[in-house]
Order: sequence, then C-alpha cells, then structure tokens
Amino acid sequence: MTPEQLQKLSGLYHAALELEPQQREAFLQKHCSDDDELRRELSQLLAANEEAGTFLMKPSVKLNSEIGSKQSDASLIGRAFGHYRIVSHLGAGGMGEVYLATDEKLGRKLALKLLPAEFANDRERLRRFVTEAKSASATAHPNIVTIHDIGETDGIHYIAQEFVEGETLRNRIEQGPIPPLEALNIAQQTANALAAAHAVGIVHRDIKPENIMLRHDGFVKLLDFGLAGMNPTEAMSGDQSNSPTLPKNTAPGVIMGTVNYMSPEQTRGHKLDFRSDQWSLGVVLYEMLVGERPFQGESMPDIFVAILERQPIPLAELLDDAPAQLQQILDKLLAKNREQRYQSSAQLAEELKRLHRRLELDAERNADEVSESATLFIQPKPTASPVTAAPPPTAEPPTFSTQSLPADAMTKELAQVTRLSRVTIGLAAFLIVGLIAVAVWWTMQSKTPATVPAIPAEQLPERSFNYWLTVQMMRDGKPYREEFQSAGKERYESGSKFRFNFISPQSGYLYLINEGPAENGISFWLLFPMPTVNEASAKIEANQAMTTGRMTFNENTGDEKLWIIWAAQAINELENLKADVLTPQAQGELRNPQQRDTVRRLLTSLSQSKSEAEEDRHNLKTAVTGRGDTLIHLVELKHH
Amino acid sequence: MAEEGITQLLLQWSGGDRTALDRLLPLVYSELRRLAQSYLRRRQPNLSLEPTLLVHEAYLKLVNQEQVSWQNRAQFFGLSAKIMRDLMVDHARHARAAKRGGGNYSLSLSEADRVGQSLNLDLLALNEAMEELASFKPRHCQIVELRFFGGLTIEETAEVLAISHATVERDWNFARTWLYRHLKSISDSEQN
Repeated sequence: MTPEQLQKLSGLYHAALELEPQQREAFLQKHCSDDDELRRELSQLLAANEEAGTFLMKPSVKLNSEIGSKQSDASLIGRAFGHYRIVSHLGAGGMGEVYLATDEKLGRKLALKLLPAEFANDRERLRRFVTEAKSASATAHPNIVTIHDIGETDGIHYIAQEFVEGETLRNRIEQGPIPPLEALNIAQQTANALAAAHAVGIVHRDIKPENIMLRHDGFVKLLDFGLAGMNPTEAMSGDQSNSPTLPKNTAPGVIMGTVNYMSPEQTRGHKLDFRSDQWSLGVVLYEMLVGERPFQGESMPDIFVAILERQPIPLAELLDDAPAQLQQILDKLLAKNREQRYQSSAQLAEELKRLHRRLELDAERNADEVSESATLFIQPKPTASPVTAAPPPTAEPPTFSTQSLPADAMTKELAQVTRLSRVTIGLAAFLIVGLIAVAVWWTMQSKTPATVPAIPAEQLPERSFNYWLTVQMMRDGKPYREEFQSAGKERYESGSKFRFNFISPQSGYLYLINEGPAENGISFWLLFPMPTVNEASAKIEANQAMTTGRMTFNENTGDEKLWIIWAAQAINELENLKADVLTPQAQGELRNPQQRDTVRRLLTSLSQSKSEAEEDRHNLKTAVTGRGDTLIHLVELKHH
Repeated sequence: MAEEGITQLLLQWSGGDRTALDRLLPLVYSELRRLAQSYLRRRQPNLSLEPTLLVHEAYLKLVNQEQVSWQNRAQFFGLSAKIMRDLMVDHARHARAAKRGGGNYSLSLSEADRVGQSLNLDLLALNEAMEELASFKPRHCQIVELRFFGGLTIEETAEVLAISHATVERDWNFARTWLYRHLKSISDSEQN
C-alpha cells in the first residue's frame, strides 16, 4: 500500500468502527469505490478487530528455551555465518557451541565457535575478548590456535578459528596417566604457547585440559585465549576478569573441575599474571602424570583450602621411576607464592624441553643399542613407551654447551625415536652440508612434469618456506654437547643424529627425497612423508612446524642430495609411491626401477627455473622463496 | 547511592532537564539487562516472561518511590519500554539463530484458549511488524511499545506521550488490530 493509502486507512477504520456492522459495507462502497486494495485491507482490518480480542493486552512472552540442546544444533547445519557455513557439530565448550564449518571464500575447514547471547550485550567484555584473542593469535605461534575472524550474524557472535583435528587433553587423561616423556612433550609445547603469549602481555587465565588440544600428529594447540572472564556466570571472586570459564547448567562436579586449576592468588580474587598460568599448567602436568588432580576436595571451599594450604603427594610415592627433575619442576610451578615460580615462561619452556630431551635420549640409548647398524628407515622405536625404559634419573646428563635454541623454537619433539641409519645420507668422517640452492618452479596444471609454465613467473603466486636441521652430535653412542639448530652449513660429525624441520606460511604438500651417491647407480629414498609423523601424510597446514623423526648420518661415503618439494597440490607420482615404499621392508627405498625412473624424470623436469635461498644472520635456518605452485629446493650434502 | 542517583535523575528529567536522560538511560539499561539475563539464563522449558515484571523489578530496585510521583513512574516505565523491546528482540534473534525456524519465543495470547484460536507468533515478527507500523504511524508504534513492553496503563501512556486518553485508546485499538492482522497473514501464508 502507498503511504497515502496507509494514512487514509486509520481514519476510515475508526469511522467504520463507529458504525453498526450492517452499515459498514455501504461505508466501504462509498469511500473506497475507486480503490480495491484499500477496501480489501480495510474490511480485513475491521474483521480482525473482533478477532484480535485481547491481543497484546497482557504482555507475556512464552519462552520455550532449548538453546544449546541437540535439537537446536542439528538445525544449524548448513547455516551460514558470514562466509562460513556450518557442516557439523563438534562439541560444546564452556564458552558456547563449536561447529565444523567451511570457509566458502577460501575453501578450507575451520572451527566456528558461537558465543552465547549474553556476550553480545556486554560490549566491554566483547571488546576485551576480541583484543586479547587477536593479540594471542597474532603471535602466530604454532602452539596457539589461530583465530581467522571474529564476527556477528543475526546477533550471534562467532569466532572462526583454525580447525584442530584431534582430541582434548581431557579426553586423553581420561584414558589413564600419560607417560612422563609424552606428558613433558605436551607440557613443553603448552609452555611454548604461554611464553609467546606472555611475551606480549597476555595471560590465558584458564589453563585446563579442556583447553589443550592434541592434534593427531602430536602437535599441541592451546585454545581460548581471551575467553576467560568472558563468562557472565556469577564470578567466584569480585573481579570477573579472574573467573575461569565455568560451564553453565552443568553438574556441580564439572564446575569443580575448573576450580581445581585455579592458582592460590585466583582463589583469593587477586589480579592474575603470567605466573598464574604457570600454576595451572603445573596442575595439568601433575594430572597428566598421575591421573589425579593435585588439589582435590568435595566442595569448592575444600578445594580452595587444598590449593592454599596443602602440598600435593610427591610423584615418587605415586610413580615408579619418576625423574627427580620432574618433581623439581612441579615444585616450582606449584609454589604457593608466585614469586617462587618461574620468572619467565620462556625459562619454564626451556627447562621442560631440556628435561624432555634428556629423557628421550636416555630412552633411546637404553632401548636399543642393537639395531644401530642396519635399519635404514625412519621407524618407530620398538614397543611401548620409551619412558618405562628410561634409566633412573641418577644418570649424569650430558655436558651441554651454553648454546641454546631460541625460545620460539618451533620444533616438535617426537616421542617416538626414529632413525635413519645406514642409508642414504651415509657419510664419511665429516660432512659438509652445502647448499647448492637451486629451486625450480613447475606449474601443476598438467600432470606431465615436463610442462613449462605458460604464465610469466612474476605473475605466479609466491611460495616460501623455512627449513633447518636440529643436530645432536654423538660420541661413543652417547649424546655429546647439546642439540643445536643449524641452517645446514656447518660440518657435522658422522654418527650425528638430526631432524629436519620445516615451516611455511602457506599450506601444501611436503616431500623429501634423498638421492643416493651416483657411483652406486641411482637410488632414491622417500624421507617424507614418513610413517611415524603426521599420519604419513604430506599435507602440512600453513604455519604448521613439521619435524621429522630422528635420522642418523652414517659413515658411508658419497655425495648425497636432499630434495625438498613444497607443492600446493599433492603430487600424484609421489603419492602413488607411498604404498610400496613406506613399508617396514622397503623402509622408504624406491626399489622398483620404474619408480626410480619416474622420480628422476620428475626431479629433472622441476629443475628448470630458479628460486632464492638464504640463510638467516645466525645460520639458524634457511629461507627459500619463489613463485608458482610447486617449489623445489636441493640441499647438497658433501663430505670428505 | 545508585538508588538516589536514579531517583534524582528521574526528578531532574521530569523537571525539564533533558541532559538527565542521557545519564539515566545507561543506568536503567544495565539494570534491566542484568535482570533479563539472570531471568533468561534459567532456561526452564516453557518459561513465561512478562517484560513488564522486569521493568517493575528494576523500578523497585532503582527508584525511591517515596520521592517520585506517578508521572515520574510513567516516565521511568516509558524509557524502560524501549530498552525492554531491544533486549527481548536481541534475545529472540539469538534464539532464532540458535534454533533455525524460530518459533520458540512466541507470544502467548492469554485469550487464545477461550477463543479457540492458536496463534503463535514470534517476537521477531512482532518487532518487524511494529517497524512497519512505525513507518506510517510512528505514535501508534510508540503506544504499543509503552503498553506491551513497558506495561504502561492508558493513563500513563497518555502522560508520557502528552496526548489525551481518548487518542491513546483509539490509536491502541488500531495498532493492535493492524498488528494482529499483519502477523496473522504472515502466519497463515507460512502454514500454506
């Protein structure tokens, strides 16, 4: 209806209402004879007058609230928030429901967290949350879940974040205590995340197993920075910013579960700082090792008393072979007075890492001096947990040099000890890893490797990665000096063990191929993907640091080539090899001449255009950049 | 403290000090929001919420009744009405998104059973219809806001809007009827 019609409507309506019902028809005839629409509207309105009864007279809104129930979850499937479309329900957190979604712009999977409506109305908290979450995410630390986007659709606030495929640490703990080596690995990665966040002044405030994700490849991801204190549930203390995320509408036991991780200063309602996160991590570490929380009680006040006054049962009373240093670290983390905890979280991370490395080497030494000679390929250590085989902590630690890794070292220390022994990279007494840094571009538009890119190189998207080696020198089968990081230019002693580390701002597929000494006829080994890492997949996410299992330089002579292939798409020629080559029998070796031929042709075809490789100032890593879908880089290992 | 503050501001406002309103609104808003949230958080099934109850509760809490006149009360309720509408619509919007298809926040028509009709209309639809009504009859919409979301009587509404009782009655009748028909036609077309 036009504005004029609408204006007329109410006047006619009231006039008609004054009339007896039987007179109204004539009234309509008279006043709306030339306007059928107005007439129809008016007569319906007059009829509705009776029908409306007491409509709106008694204001009452019936709430049949089922928000958050399974039913409502199902109905969200397929719904879009911004350019994110919900695929399935992943789980419920204290801070709202989490869904698997696809980013329709970028075509990637991500986790979409819908914040409860209460936040929407609290602008100040929302603002603070956004600031903190973004700052934490901006550290781009591989152990901190990346937040892609924060937005609002139809009054619902959502967080689009990196999708972490794995389980929560809570899940893992429920299956029983975690062996010290693995627990240390998890704690160390979490501490790395905290160190990065603390360095930019952000305190997590809610460290607990529910917020620590374990990815299938062993990577740890810390969730929910900035969410603590966002929950409007009545805070325990006056300062709501101190309140952890207490799940709503849950059994008291669940809420208790969160209270258990509070630091003494938190139970008192004092302001929190980075050392409060350290305490909570200490509680988590203890719980991982023992399977029980250190501070328990039947009610919240009981738990508070335990937190404030009791000492947890020493590890030695609960575990066989608990390393003494582990107890020392726990004592420091769980110091009631925060002045006595670590004065920087980088320091804590470093200490956890050092102990982890020691236990790992001890385990390795103990478990097999046996197969030192032969097995070539990267394979997991025989049987169960290396830690049960760990020697008592009385063993003298190796003499470490003062060289240490940067605090942000992104290495992922694999629990499994792997080795590449005789193999490929077998070398003489000394090795020089020289970089004959030529990389080559190859468009993937055709599966025929020989295709030359039709598009001018400068118009292709840039691709880049960093790689570095972590090297552990060995003397008489024992670690000698501390493990160190290297861009690949140093001389390495034979028998040294190393890991290959890789990270890229893009996602893609990583392949590492070792080409053996030419004098023995052409030979290839597929070093990555490897069966024990990343679920044998070549797929690596953006900013995901990848570390191979440990490999050993052996003492054979010859030139070795290490090809690094970093591709936007999986390379079929190489994927097809996996079934044959990643077996205990083949141990990565391409034994079929046809396979070798395919790979040789692939590599040749790639070696056509250039990329740039440059070591950083401290010779700690090498950066490789170029343009195109596939980047190839050759590391030449020379020795004499 | 807060009590005196709000009462004073209310008195200043009705005494003609328009700046008092700017200070008054956030105080009333935060109290109403707090009440509404604590209420809505109970999440019982088939919970019935009368917005005006919340306004009453806020009023009793915030305003010293001995000092204010009934006109002041009307003014307080009047400004609360707009806030309640915003709060409830926000909430309903969230509810609809959480449960697509909405319908879980429905107006319950107190006479519905007697008349034998079941008209379930959601709050968001009402809000949209009110906006449409406001486009050609802004005062009618304001009356609905005051009566339905603020719980004001005809007299109080007349006081707040400075119009006669008869006009309020008349406009209220038209607004209710128009909204009813509008919502019913939406609900009918959805069913078909």
